[in-house]
Amino acid sequence: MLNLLIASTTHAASQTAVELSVMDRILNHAIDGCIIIVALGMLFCVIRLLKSKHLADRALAADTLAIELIGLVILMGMRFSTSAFIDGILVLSLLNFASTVAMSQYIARPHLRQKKLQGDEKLEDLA
Amino acid sequence: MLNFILDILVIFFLLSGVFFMFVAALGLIRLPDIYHRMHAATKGVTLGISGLIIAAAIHHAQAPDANVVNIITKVILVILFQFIANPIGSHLLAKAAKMDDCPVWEKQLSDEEHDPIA
Repeated sequence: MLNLLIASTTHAASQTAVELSVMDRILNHAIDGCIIIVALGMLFCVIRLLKSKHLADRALAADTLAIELIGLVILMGMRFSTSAFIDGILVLSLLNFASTVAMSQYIARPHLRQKKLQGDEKLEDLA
Repeated sequence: MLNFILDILVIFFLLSGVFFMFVAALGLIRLPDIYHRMHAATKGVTLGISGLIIAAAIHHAQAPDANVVNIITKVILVILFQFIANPIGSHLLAKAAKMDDCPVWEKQLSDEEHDPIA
């Protein structure tokens, strides 16, 4: 994937024939390293997603995985030097929040119903 | 000169954001318990996304045909949304885990629900 990235950016640079300055080159190398580190973080999230037993634990791992994906999209937008990905970031964060709320409601729903059946006065509303 | 300073700022925000995101992922894999993991992951990820997107905003505003107002509005929206949505989602998930009796760490010193001191 990184080879593809570097090939596409060098292709774009040869098309526009713009000479990159030293600072731009340093910035490109920094963004490449950051992409590698964020991908390593995503790998950690996937390992936690596969290893953990409880459902809430997996939901937390999936939440963190999605946010690391948002970071990766930001970094790719910087690497391709286009600002069109920021709309995608908004949509991704909205979907991530909605899925987290839905997962937590799914986990807590049977316990809320049981509390209501017992006639508990101090029923904690989850939402 | 201005471009040089802005590039230094971009690299600073980029490295700080990636540091926080990596610390969040490391805490997610190293800590023993869902509550510990939630404590590491939510804070680190919020700060990490904020740093990364500030870096992206400065980087994109330097382009010659950049629509600066558009970029800055979207960036402020994303940061505000992250700072609102991450604590709410984490709180809901912690409540659900508590109701579902998620297993806690066996070396935990005390459970605040069962010895009400403070």
